[in-house]
Amino acid sequence: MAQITATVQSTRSYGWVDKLSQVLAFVTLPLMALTLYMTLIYAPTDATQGDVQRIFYYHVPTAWNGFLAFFLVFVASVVYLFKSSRFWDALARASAEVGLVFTTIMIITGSLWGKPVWGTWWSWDPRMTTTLILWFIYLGYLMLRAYAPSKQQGARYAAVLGIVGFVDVPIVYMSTKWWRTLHPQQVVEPGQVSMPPEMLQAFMVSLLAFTLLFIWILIIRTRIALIEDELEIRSIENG
Amino acid sequence: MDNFGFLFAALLVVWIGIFVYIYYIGQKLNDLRQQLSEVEIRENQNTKDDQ
Repeated sequence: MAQITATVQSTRSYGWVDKLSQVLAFVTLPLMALTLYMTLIYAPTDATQGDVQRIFYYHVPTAWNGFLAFFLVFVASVVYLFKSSRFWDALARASAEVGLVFTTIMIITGSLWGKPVWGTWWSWDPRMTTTLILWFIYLGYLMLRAYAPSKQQGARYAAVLGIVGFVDVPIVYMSTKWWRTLHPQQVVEPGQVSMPPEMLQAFMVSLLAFTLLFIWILIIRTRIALIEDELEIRSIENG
Repeated sequence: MDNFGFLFAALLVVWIGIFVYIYYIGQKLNDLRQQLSEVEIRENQNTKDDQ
């Protein structure tokens, strides 16, 4: 009973989240429009690849947010295993779904970039292969939750998968350093930027816009997960 | 504009993908809120009936 009361109270006390969500929507949508301008008009055309290089401004931010989402799944899963709090479980499940959406967009845009530049839609190079494995890990995570015999059991197994599966994220990131790959080395790293200032500015605006978009979507998706939990608890409570 | 078709396709994937997902979760949130308020009304009604 105490668990039920705590969950219902925690769901209700997120009224301020709706406000934050509105503010984020208000800031993010104009920023997304600015991203379009910066990436299509403001940033100069790449001398080697031409206009198709502009896919970079969408491919990398979606990849970054996918990684961020899976990092949140990892953190929320660890906390869930210690505290058994429904909030952290809801955050992990929401973050996994949003991360999968961003990673799917990243894979498709990467393929659309690869065809004109490398002459192939897909190559089993280390980065692409480890990214595909990452995509399957989190698809499996969501399927595990959907088909688990009980919700609590599913949450526990998924938390373990959310922790173990995160191991692939640093492997994806380091794959261009560890193995020979078609992908170039990172062009933006701490203390080392190898692109013209206009390109860097467009990239930063895009990164900020997509990160705010990710947070906004994650808030809505977590809210959905919490309401689903509350409805389930109430249906049990009311018989 | 070289290879513009690929850039255009990538932009379509990004924008349509994101807008479809936002629309989907927006609809889902509204439906769940509706369900929750219906449950609350039912519960309040039951409490009144009990009294």
